[in-house]
Amino acid sequence: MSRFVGRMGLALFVLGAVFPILFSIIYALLYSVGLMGFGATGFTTAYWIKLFSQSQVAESFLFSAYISITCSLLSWLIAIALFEGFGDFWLRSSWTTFWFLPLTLPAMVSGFLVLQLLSGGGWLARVAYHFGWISVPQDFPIWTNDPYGIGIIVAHLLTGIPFFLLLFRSIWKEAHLAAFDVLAASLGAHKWQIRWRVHMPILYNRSKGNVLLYVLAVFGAYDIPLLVGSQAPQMISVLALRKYERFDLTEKPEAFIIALLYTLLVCLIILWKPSNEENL
Amino acid sequence: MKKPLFAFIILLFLFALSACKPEKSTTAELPKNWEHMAAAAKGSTVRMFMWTGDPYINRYMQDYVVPAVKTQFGIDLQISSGQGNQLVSMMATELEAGQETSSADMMWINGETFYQLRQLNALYGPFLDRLPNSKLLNLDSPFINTDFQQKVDGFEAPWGNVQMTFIYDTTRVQQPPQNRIALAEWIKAHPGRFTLDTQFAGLTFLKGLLIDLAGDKNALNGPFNEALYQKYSKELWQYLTQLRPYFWRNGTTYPEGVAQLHQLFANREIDFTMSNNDGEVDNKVLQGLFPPTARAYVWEIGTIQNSHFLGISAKSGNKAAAMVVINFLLSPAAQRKKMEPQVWGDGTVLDLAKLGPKDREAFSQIPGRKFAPDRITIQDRALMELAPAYMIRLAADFRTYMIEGKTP
Repeated sequence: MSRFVGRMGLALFVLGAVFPILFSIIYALLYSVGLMGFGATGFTTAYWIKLFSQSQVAESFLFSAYISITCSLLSWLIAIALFEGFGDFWLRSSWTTFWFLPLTLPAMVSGFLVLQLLSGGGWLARVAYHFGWISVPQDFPIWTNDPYGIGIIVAHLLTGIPFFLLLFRSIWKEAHLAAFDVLAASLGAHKWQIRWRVHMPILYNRSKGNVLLYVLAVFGAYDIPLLVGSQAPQMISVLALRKYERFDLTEKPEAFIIALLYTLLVCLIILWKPSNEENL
Repeated sequence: MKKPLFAFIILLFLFALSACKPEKSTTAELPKNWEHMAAAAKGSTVRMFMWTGDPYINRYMQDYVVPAVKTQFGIDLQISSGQGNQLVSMMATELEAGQETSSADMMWINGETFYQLRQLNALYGPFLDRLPNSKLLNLDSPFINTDFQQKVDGFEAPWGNVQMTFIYDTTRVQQPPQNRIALAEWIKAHPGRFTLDTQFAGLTFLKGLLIDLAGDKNALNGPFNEALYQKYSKELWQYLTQLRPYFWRNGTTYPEGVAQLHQLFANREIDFTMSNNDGEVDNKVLQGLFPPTARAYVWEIGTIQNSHFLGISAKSGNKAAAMVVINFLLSPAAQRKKMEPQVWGDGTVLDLAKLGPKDREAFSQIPGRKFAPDRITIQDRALMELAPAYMIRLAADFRTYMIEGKTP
């Protein structure tokens, strides 16, 4: 009986998870070489050659990598600084629920919030104008739709920091860090020694898998870079969608190539992923 | 265990691939007589895809059209958001998947969307002459019977007619530029105060500049001409790239769509916005987005005038009902309502001379436009839309030279 259930489970997993992904990858591959879709005229490598002759794909991948790594590092570092700085507050106060509210923000709302806050006609610019620091919107620093992705990073931090705070709180409880604190203190460790030698290694080891997942989530995010990102360079998801559904129908195969390259990258990262399960 | 599982995956994959073959449309015969058509349409649901980016237009559809077709014809009209290539992608995917019935029955289309849907054979037609109200249309006008240099041929029904205008604020700009040379001078004198969006309004502006550079307003008519494009677009990119540093954000980034462009104008970040609809300025002042000092105008050499159309999906399961809805949208009552600035401010496609005295009277009594130029005066300044390939090429080159900043 249990063997039957096991087989059914496996079949359902293949049907529900493996098959759609496999199908999509093969479909994208066939589309990208002219064997599928409208305007398909038989096998061709023209779309691949055309795409690789444009520097925008490499730029987009590099830009996405820069944004996702920066967002993850900053979120992690700010979260750990807040957690260590106000440890009791995060662990005990009922106010923490309020602090975690940003986690429930849809990406589109975070994007709008950043636009309202940081754009040349936004709230901060209006405050600056009120105090006479700027006289026209152009005087305000460019923090949205900017080539350095400042707006995108800020929007992601709104959810990234609470995400890691929540994670650290659960690690604290599950790893019994309070007991380690007492033990280390009884052995004569100072407050900073406890932080560096006890907290940091445990929090780092137990959260690094999630950091990687967060990097991937930001890498493939769409709404925020569409709203507050610049048009050159564009993040990879925005570039793929532009090729997929903007103006020129003949660019559709290129969108599939970008999706394939992105899938390949994710697979490589997951294969390389540090094994941290045993620590969790 | 592994082998059967592998075979199972392969089987499923082959099954899915076989479903991808596009199948021929199995259009059922529609009633010849209009009364029978209306009877066949009764009680059905029509799903319409359209651009839903303007609250006034949405309100016209939801508060006026939807209840009217329900009470008059018993049709349940459902409106969904979808336009341009998004719509083309959706319908192409449906055809690729061999879907028998499309999820779209009718849609608001024009220009390159019409061109691409025709290429995909995704449009039903010709159907226009079957609509009783098509007799009232001004089909002699090239601005109404032609869509981006392509003959409509009854595969779409004209719905509204508009002309591109520039919008400025009289408190900020006293003498708006009337041609491209004056615009260049103005932009240089006011760095950071001008930009264009990367979608339809911006591209229509670029097409107008291209026609201006060609020297003759009919020079680029007809199918896409590579040699002419090369010749005049070279001058266009020279003109624009020398102005690029003086654009908003030094020309490194541009608003994604016209709504964002309007927002920048309303926030006083820029001094000009533009609209493909000459009546939009009144509408936006009424919404409170633009100040009452906003005015729309058309350049001396003219701006592009175009019509927007309604099409029926080749795979629609409710073609009769879609035709009844389109016929209603072309009725004098629906066209007149749509033309009121406080409703939409969209120009009519009807030939007023073909209307009865009562309807004609009703059109003459639409409250006057306050901030937009008079339609009759700007008709002399109307330029024809260019073939769709011009827009595709301009969009690609705009990205290369203006967004990415490469040298032409």
